[in-house]
Amino acid sequence: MLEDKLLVLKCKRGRKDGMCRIYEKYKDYLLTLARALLNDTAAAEDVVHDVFVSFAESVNEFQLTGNLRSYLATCVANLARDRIRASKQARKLDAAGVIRSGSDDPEQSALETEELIRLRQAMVQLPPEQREVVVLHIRACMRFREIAKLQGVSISTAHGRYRYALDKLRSLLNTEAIE
Amino acid sequence: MRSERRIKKLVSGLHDTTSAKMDERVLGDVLRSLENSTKRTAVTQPNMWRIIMKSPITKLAAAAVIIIAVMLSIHLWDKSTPSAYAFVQTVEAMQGKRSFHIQTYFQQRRKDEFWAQFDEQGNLIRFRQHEGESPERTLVTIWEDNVKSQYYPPPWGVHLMTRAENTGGGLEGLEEFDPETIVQEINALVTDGKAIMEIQEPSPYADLMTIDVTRTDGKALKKVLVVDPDTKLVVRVDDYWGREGEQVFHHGIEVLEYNKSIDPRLFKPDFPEDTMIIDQVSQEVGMDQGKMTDEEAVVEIVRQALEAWAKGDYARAGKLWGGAPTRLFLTEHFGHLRPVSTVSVGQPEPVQNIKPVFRVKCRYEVKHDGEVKTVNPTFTVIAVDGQPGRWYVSWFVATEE
Repeated sequence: MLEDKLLVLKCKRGRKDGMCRIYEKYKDYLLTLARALLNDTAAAEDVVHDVFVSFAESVNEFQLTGNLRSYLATCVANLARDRIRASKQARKLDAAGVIRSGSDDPEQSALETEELIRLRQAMVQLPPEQREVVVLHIRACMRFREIAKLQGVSISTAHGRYRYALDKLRSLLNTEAIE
Repeated sequence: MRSERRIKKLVSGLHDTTSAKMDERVLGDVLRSLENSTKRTAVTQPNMWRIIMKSPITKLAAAAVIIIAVMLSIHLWDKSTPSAYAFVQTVEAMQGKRSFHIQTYFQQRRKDEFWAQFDEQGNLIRFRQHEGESPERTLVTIWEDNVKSQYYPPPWGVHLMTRAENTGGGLEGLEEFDPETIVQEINALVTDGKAIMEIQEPSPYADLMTIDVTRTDGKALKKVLVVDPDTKLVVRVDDYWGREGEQVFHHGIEVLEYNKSIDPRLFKPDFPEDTMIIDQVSQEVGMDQGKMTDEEAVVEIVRQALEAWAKGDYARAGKLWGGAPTRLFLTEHFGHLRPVSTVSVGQPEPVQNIKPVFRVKCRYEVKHDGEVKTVNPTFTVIAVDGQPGRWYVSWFVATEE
């Protein structure tokens, strides 16, 4: 979006309104991605915070070659992955029987439909790299080529992860529906 | 069973909102970082003017450059307005849109007329759209506060009120026709070296400038902009498709007014008095899907809707028909489809759409002028906007004898 280029330009000139607009524009979207990847509201908020702060710190050297939305989404995915690795969350989340509730935020839970809560619970059971492909492809509308580059794998591997993830989600959600 | 489509829909529907506390924390830190980053740059970058002024030679050179620049600009200004024109002036003139009134064209035919208003941040507040070539067949859409009011002209004579969020600025494709965005996109294409800009001389429009923007990145597209040399505002943008020499007009917009005040009455529903109101905003309509798959729910709602209609239970039928009033079932174009026999409901067929839509073929008997005959209507079942998990039967019916 061209508006983004102008906003980045404003930020480079130190204009706070430009940065506020970028934050307003993408905050909910990035929080949604971060929470879908981490299943932890506090951690997701921290990731979004770090992404924006880091963007503000480096905005003078920043060159927008593509899409700001995708750029910020990629930053969220990278930081979320680092967090999962650092806290060994991946192992914890994958372990059978250690399924956390769909949402750790009661207020947020109350706003979500039962179906969405079940989806979050099912997504927690996916390996992080599969969950990442699903979230980035469906929710962030990123292409498999971009996701493959981000994950450092081939396009067919990214595609395969996506298929496995969808099959597993379908199986998990259908099992729960039958129960 | 949950289908892949349902899972995609669920994932797409994930939405979190930042809290006021988070906004305060993040924005506080971000703006501080921005300030530090800007200060750092200012400190690390040398003051060029001071360097120049230190040496007598550079001082003289700078003076010469300024004199030449002034002379050149006087010369250019003198030649004619187009020579002095820079596209950035149009980008600046179009910046900060608060309202516009445009007419769109598709292959030389008038298509949509839009009036739109925006807030200080450029977010859409409200719009009105007229779609259709003749006034009596015009579909009118008014949108404000996430409520869309649509007027379907006779034979329907219906005012449909639905919930509609302007997700991603894509409401009714309005962003695509936004003159400010179009100008910014063209500027970026030229800046990125993906297009070249050339002023047509003489301009085919009297007193207006015409600028050709030709893609140089292999895309067979050309835009022609018409700019008012006084205000620098764009008054028309036409898109031509095809390779060079074979380009034909595809679509375009005419900017009738830009940043002019719009009569607020234009954004209030002003439909004829006898219009039937179908309200999907203030009441629950349709049928809840429950644990049924999309396909099962679609068949079930059509069956229930036709059964209720056959029994004359218009309250129930009206709810399943998305909040339709009893009057709708008695209209000429719809009333003749009231079933009098057991209904055979066919398999639902998904329709490619931005939201879930299915078509269902049915077969049953109706009584018309005392005569019983078999009809094969196709009903359309649509997900209710703003009421997740609910479906309704549309009153748009295709029939075959």
